[in-house]
Amino acid sequence: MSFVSIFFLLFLAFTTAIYYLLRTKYRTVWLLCVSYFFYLTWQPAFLAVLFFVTLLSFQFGKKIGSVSDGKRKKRWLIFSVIVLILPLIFFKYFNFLNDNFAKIFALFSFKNPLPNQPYLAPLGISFFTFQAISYVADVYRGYLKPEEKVEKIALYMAFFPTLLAGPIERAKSILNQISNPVSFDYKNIRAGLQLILWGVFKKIVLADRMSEFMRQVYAEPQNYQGVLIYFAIIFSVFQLFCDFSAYSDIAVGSARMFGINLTKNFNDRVYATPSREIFWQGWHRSLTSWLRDYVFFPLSRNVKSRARLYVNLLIVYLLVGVWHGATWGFIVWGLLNGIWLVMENASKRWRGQFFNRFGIDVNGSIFYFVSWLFIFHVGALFGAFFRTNTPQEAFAFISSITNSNTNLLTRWETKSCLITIVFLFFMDLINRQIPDNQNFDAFIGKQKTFVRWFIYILLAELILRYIHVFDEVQFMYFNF
Amino acid sequence: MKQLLQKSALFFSILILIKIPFFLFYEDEPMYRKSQVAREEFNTVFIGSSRTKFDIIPAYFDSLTKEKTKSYNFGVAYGLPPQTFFWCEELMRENPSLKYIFFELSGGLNKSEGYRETWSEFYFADYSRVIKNLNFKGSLVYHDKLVAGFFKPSFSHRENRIDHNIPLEKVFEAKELKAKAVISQQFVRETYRLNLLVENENYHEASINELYWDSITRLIELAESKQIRIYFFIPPRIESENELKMIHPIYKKLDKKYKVSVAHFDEMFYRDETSIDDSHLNHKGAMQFTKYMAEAFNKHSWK
Repeated sequence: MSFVSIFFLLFLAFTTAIYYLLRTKYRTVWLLCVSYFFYLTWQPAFLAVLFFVTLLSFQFGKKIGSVSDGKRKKRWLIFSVIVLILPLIFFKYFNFLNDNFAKIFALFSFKNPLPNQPYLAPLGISFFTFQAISYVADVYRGYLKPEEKVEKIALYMAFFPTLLAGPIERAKSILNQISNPVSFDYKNIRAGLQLILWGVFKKIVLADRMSEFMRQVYAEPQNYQGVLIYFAIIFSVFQLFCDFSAYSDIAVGSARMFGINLTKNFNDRVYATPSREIFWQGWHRSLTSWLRDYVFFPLSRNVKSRARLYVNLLIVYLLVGVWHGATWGFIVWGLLNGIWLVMENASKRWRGQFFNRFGIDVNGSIFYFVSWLFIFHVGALFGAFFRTNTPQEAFAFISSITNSNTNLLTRWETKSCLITIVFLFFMDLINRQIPDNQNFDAFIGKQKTFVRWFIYILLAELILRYIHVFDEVQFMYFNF
Repeated sequence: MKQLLQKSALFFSILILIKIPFFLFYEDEPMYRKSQVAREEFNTVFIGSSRTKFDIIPAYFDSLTKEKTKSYNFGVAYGLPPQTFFWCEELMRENPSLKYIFFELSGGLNKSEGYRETWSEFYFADYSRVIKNLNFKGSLVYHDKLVAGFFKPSFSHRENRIDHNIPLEKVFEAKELKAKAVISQQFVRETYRLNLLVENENYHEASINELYWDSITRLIELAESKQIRIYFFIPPRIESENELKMIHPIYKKLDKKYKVSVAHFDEMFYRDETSIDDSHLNHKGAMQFTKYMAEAFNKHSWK
């Protein structure tokens, strides 16, 4: 059941109506049942994996909570993390590791005895595994008491708006909200629907249009003019932002209809940041904050050397790359981001002194704009590694920016590209007005009735205009 | 709850209000072409997809035929079976002047398994036929298309990029676009291979699509009852192996007199200089293909 389908809207309406009609004590079970039903519509066979990870995390949480000896507690934590991560490694990384081992064996004329595993990775496995690990880690740290009711942990893991592509939620926030359900409030429903409308707009009118354009250009770059290659490169940032933030908006909006507030996963103008550090503070925040809290901080405890901190930072961004997928392209992309952040951090003081010497105001708007331009373009070039399977492919694609075929004006992609740019400006105009740490509903709620309704109708008509009724709408982050 | 229902009703009412002018005044491409055929009393019609639309020039065809033909290109983007069968039947019923029909054999009938009749009806917003053909189960399968199609503003359905229905003098005046097409060599090599297999008797023994064959038989019967000669042809650039598997057994089973054997396997149709894009011929390519069609028609014996 795609988030962008009439079936999902009917499902959401039905689920919400029954939710508010039920007594509060039955609501968790109801949401759990519909969440499992939601997963069944995607991958029925892999529901077993979700059950397995859920039950394990519940039992590990109880065990860790019951052990008082610090060392034993830690051993249980390490054991539980290893066990919880095994399905993820098997389904997502086994074949990649196996193929690479085979290549290494081949160098010594040995044959790799292990065959590849034949299964696709279960949808959402990266997300629910990380949620399971954060639950046991939080119990270990004492941030959270072990949950007594398995259905609450199960719902935390399987809550349908977050199940397939996040945001990666923390147990404390969700369990609190599940335990204290709110009564029906029109404002929650309205905010939920507004967020869903905005999310679907970003997905259909922006992300999918850019995706179609990029699919063509990435498939055969030799057929396109350098200008279109350039747009394909810079669209990669916007397309990824629109696709994933659209999913997050729909997820946040769907959860809001039940009175449950989810993490805001993206800053609305994350594509317009003047440094990579600020970019990563606003991009896929639930993943980066997870890695900060459960990898970087534990690794950096009692570390005094700056160099060691930088190594830890590199490890975190290597994991960001690996989390996204088992390819060398992702690994290089993650490492490049890590190296960039280290360089940015290490050169901060030196850069400040350098610009001061020339009388350049590093807080001025011109400096901000130039920094943004630079950061945006380097980030977009990194996107080529994200989109290709090997670094060689990425380099080949980027180098085709020098193409000078004369077919620019006759290709439909040029018109499509120009229309997309107009829509991107429209999105940016609205994103500028969304208050920090709030969502689209906060912006639209402030508008006068006529403006609000004009935007509703405009977004709906554009969605209807561009939606491909014959194709299933798929989100990119389902792949991760 | 009352507030929610009221506002939802208002929202959808506005969407319908916006749709009404399109519904009342908008003429989509098949409707537009049907009215053209009826108005000008053409006696020859080419029916098919965008491949027919791009690849055949009617006035040039008329200048080359021995018979007195006045032909019209009824190629429509995504004009695939079964929609082309319906258009063909309607044209035969509504146009007494029709003498010859050239019908493109292409894939499409199994686009949506189980409810094969409905895919192109939805695509062309042919709701009278959708309502007539759709059963309860089908409407469940197609619920999203029904709803989205119902509210969708249809303001860009007409494909105006190219229309070969022009007088002969303009055909010769027409110039190629200055920019050279750059086509996907991989795609075109593959489609050339597929087109070569059309006449190959030993090609994959795919089972015949009964629905497709029944529709062809119905067309032939209707054409014969109206003394119209109907010819089936295969355009250059078969899109995929699946399309070939669908049309090959049909083409093989058809009686010789209903086929125009065009030299679609000529290698020249698979080059940059005869292409406008991956799937279609440019003006130069269309002139050549039209010439082959006319020659095949002139040689054809109706026995």
